[in-house]
Amino acid sequence: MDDAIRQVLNIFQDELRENSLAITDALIQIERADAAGRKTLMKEVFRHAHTVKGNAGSFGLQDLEELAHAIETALTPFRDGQKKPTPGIIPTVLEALDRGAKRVAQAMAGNDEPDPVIQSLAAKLLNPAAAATPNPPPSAPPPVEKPKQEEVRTKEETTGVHRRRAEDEGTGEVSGVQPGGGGQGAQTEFIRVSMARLGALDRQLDDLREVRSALEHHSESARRLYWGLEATLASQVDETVRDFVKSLRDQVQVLFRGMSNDVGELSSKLSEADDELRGLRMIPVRGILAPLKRSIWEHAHSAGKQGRFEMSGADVALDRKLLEELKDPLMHLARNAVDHGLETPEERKRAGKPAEGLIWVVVEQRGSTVFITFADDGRGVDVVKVRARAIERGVLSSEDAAKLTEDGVRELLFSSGFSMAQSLSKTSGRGVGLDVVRENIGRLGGKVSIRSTLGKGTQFLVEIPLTLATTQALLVEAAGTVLALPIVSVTASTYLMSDGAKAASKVDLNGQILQIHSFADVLGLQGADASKSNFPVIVLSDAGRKIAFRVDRLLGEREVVVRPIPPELTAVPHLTAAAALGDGRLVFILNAKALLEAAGGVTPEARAEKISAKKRIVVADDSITTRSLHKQVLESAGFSVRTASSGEDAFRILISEGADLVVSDVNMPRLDGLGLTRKIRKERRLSALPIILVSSLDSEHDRKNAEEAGASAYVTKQEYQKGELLRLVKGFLFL
Amino acid sequence: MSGEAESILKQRAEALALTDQSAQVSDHVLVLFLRAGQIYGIRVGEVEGGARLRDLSVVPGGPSWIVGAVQHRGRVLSLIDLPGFWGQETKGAADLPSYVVLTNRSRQVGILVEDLMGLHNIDAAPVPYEGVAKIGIADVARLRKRPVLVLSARSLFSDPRLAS
Repeated sequence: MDDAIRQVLNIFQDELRENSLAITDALIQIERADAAGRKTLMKEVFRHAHTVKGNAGSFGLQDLEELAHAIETALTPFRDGQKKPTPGIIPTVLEALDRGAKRVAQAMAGNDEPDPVIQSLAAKLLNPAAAATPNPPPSAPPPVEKPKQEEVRTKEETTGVHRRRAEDEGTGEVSGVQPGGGGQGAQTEFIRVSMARLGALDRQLDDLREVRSALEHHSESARRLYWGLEATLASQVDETVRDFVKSLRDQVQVLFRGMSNDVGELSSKLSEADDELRGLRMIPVRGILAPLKRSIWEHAHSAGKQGRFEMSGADVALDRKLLEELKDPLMHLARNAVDHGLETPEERKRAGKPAEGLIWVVVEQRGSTVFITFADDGRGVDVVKVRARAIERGVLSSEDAAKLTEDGVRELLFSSGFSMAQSLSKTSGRGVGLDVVRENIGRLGGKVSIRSTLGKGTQFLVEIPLTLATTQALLVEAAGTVLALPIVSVTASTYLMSDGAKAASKVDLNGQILQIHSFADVLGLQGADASKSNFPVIVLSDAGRKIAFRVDRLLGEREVVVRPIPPELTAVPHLTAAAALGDGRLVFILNAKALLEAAGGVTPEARAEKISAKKRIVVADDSITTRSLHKQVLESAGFSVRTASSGEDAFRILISEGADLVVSDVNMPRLDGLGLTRKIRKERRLSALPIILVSSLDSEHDRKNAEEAGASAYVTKQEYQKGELLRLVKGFLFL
Repeated sequence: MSGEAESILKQRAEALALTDQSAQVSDHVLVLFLRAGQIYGIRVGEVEGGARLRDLSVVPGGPSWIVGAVQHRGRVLSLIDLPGFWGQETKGAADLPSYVVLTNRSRQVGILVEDLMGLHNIDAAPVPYEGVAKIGIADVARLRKRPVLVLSARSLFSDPRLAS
């Protein structure tokens, strides 16, 4: 298809989306409206349907044009508002709108063939008998998508933006009108700008930052030149040139002062431009809340319930990326509210409630945090039943369940695999809803909690940082590399002073003794200086687990601008994003959970569990006798042992099965113990594995080789006979 | 859609749209660069740009073929070393002076280069090549008797390590 035509179809697709949203909104409200209200809402429906019909005709999409016409025809008897549309019509119209969106997408893909489904829907709408029969609502139709900003260039405009008047916005509301903004009918004109344009602007700002860096560099050169000339004047200078050098010095001074001022001014302007651009990317949360109205209505109807959705604070603006990430969790909460919150109309009447249940969202911004309350007036959480279900499902023992507070019991609802549903439905019952909600919101740096009153309703409280664009991070340096840790993951930081020549290996955190791990080693960074006996330590935590890490330097807390990382970097387990430091450098923001896992962090409970489970040791030796001996010694001590006759075999076992420790001979053919050690250290997920090399060679040179290869310990055959191997194994495995 | 309707729409759309000049560049114009004794070429339509290598950030825990990352026009750009990507031992990649940005739709990656040789019109006739076939290489062209390995962005990004 011609690119030009595709561009214009893009605009139609965009407008169709908004028209559909407006029609949906109006039809849902019609059920509750009185006659006058229905008449007004019908007027909106017809206006938008007419627009769809006209546009479809322009593009020669005859089937879509006829569908729009069928919608008008089907709704004509109800246009005056005196009667409510018969029950089957609204779901069919909604289904027709969804199909219309697909039809346009097909047209953009070059498919000009009429859509038989659209033709069938049009026929259904035109057939009064079919329209009178209640249709089951479509199963989980795709929600009407968020408004997508597309640009178009007109002959009149050279700025490349598309202007729309506020009253033409799809909601039918005159949004964006300033209070007291000029009398009745006053409208604020909006401009639509594509995200691609904003991205281009962002990149240009980055180019300007590079220019700033270059200017700083030149300014610094000028400053050095000034001091050079100053030094020259202070030394023996021939009188014939003194005046010249002095004049030059003065001019250079003016130059570098001027450049410094300009750099400062440029920095300030760049910072302002950054803030403005960030503001442009903010979109009202209404964009993701509005589609919930339809979703809740349809879902409730399909479940034989009645549900109404209200929202407040929908004008709070969030970063576009954040909004995209919030869509799914909020949809989960909405479906959860219908499935588990709302009662049937009969149940509600018996409880003295209106037949129609209410689900509402309140959005508030306080400082740099957004609070979203997602609530329903349904049956609330029955703590007794949840406790019983937890015991029945084996999530908790009876004793543990009895110890839980009511809040603790409600928290169980966020556990993976836990569900209160009696049976599976399309959307509930598998216990994969609320745990995903918590995980998704956690990924945004936020948290979600639950409050409930039996018989009255339930509230989910979501707190998230206002924008993803910046975050507070602790910068540290390890092996010469600067890294960033989300401040929410950092429990403590301190500086350890050794009381001897040997560096401390543990740190006391409020009575809890934590083993210290090398940050550089866990990340596989080369060049860490392990010789210092005094060093900074940071303690990271995640879901109750804590690990202490040794770093080379603490560089302080900073608010950093977050940049997403490309797919090849998201595959690196420790990385979540990158941040731009003001001087143009990148620093990677690390994932605390992945770091803890890599370092073997466990909760106290899991540690106890882990200790009681057998530790797995891989023994590598080409001598069957030695292998058998090691196996016997270690198995007698309660370990689980896998043997390998070569370095290659040992490595294969480690990759496929993992282990807790490796014992290896040094002298083996092909891949010897030193080679195996180096190979293990290069493998990211094995880099922290304890490795004990055993050898009959006992020279300083051999021990040094082992140390340089990365071995954790070196045991000679003589030491082995004295039980040194077992002692080391227990030490490395914290036993 | 009828032919007449399409024609009318096309006229209207052309009045609204801008034409994309870059699509008209010859397919035989390549950006050439040197790395580890081999000349490589990238079709000019697949090159987003290039820059001197500055402020390289190490990727902690990253694979060895990703030498690091930089900020490039507002985005985080991974810099890869081609020999390392193909499993060969490489040293000193972090000291290479510049990089070229290979692009395919929304995907981009920086390729480290030793020497940027500029734009060249290349003889597109097939050239016999006895080297090892490597993912990402679409063609072999010739520059004054020397083989030029022509990279394909689509092919390179089809490698699972770079696929999104």
